[in-house]
Amino acid sequence: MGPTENSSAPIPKAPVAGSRPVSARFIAALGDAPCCPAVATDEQFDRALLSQAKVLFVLRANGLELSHLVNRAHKRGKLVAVHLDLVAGLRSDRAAVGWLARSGADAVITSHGHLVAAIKNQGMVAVQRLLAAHGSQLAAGLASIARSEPDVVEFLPGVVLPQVRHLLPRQGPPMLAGGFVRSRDDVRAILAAGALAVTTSREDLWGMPRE
Amino acid sequence: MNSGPVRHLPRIFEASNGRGDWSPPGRDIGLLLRDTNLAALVANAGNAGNDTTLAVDCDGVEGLSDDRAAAEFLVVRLGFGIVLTRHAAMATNVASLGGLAFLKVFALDSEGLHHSLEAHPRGSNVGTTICPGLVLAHLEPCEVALLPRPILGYGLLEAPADTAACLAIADSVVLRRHAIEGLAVEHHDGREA
Repeated sequence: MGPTENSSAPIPKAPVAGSRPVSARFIAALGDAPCCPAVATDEQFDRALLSQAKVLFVLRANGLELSHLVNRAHKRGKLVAVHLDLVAGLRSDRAAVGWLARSGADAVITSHGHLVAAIKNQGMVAVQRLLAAHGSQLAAGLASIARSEPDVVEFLPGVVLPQVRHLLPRQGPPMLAGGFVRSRDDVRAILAAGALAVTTSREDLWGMPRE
Repeated sequence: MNSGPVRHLPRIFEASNGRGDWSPPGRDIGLLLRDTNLAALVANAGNAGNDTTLAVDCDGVEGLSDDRAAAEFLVVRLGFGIVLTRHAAMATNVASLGGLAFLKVFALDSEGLHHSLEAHPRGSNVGTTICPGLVLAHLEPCEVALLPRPILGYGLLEAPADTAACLAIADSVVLRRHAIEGLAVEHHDGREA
């Protein structure tokens, strides 16, 4: 996903201390509109801006040219979470976290627990991915989350969350679920399993209200 | 020691680290070694009976690389007929040596699934391990059609109903011992009902 309004976005300015949305605001927005767009193209981003969703999750984009996208979302009253591990042009390290803060991102998603503190220190919401390809990976991910203490956890593949909820701790950060979420029934089941919200590329689900 | 070429793909593999005694908990159940090391691997290859189908998840073997030498060691020297790997080149090497390779495809979201499949060599004797196996029943038919067979469901399969749903699509699944026992109990209860 690239710039749509300016081909060369300005170099983002350093964040002003205290001006970043707090974790509580982000979590409240997820709770209000629990079906969030996971966008990978410019066209999806444009449509997500028009949805009822309050938080947009940017999976694919040019990480070096994000500020104009973030500004457009903010003008619409929406928050932006950027996937550090997937966007182009950025390495998953502290310097890139700083860059995303300067770009105005409200939240950063990563699988790297060691970056959580840096994300928080930059005034952004830290979303750590919990990958559940198999039991040992899930256990390792839970141990990492216990150490890093992210603001929010994103469980993948989200569609199986209702089947494995018993493997997860009762207490912990609010949980998102993403991956193969394709129907209203999926969303209902995942939210009923305790997730705060879901992320999905299915546009017909974006902004779906909590039922 | 097992012979290299695969004679039969069991419907169920029991996952084991190979550090204890192992006996098949039922018919048509193979042994998948994972989260183990080279010494345990060698010991199990030597101790397995000819009726046991042995498989190895080579990504979880301490000390083992993923190159041609490792493939030859597993397939030719130790006689593992089935090898799971996340490396396409390793899968190709195993297949070229007469083994059945399963390339691990991580199905955490639809984009990741398609990205992971791009690396699949799609050659003969290279099937697909879908991780987690639990997600297989949630894939759309067009996505399942993209997976080169045979398909092995691997990961987070605990409940008998989930295993059955996975086996309705997959050719084989990997389970831990308690899940296999749960499956047997359910089957037994079902016959009595």
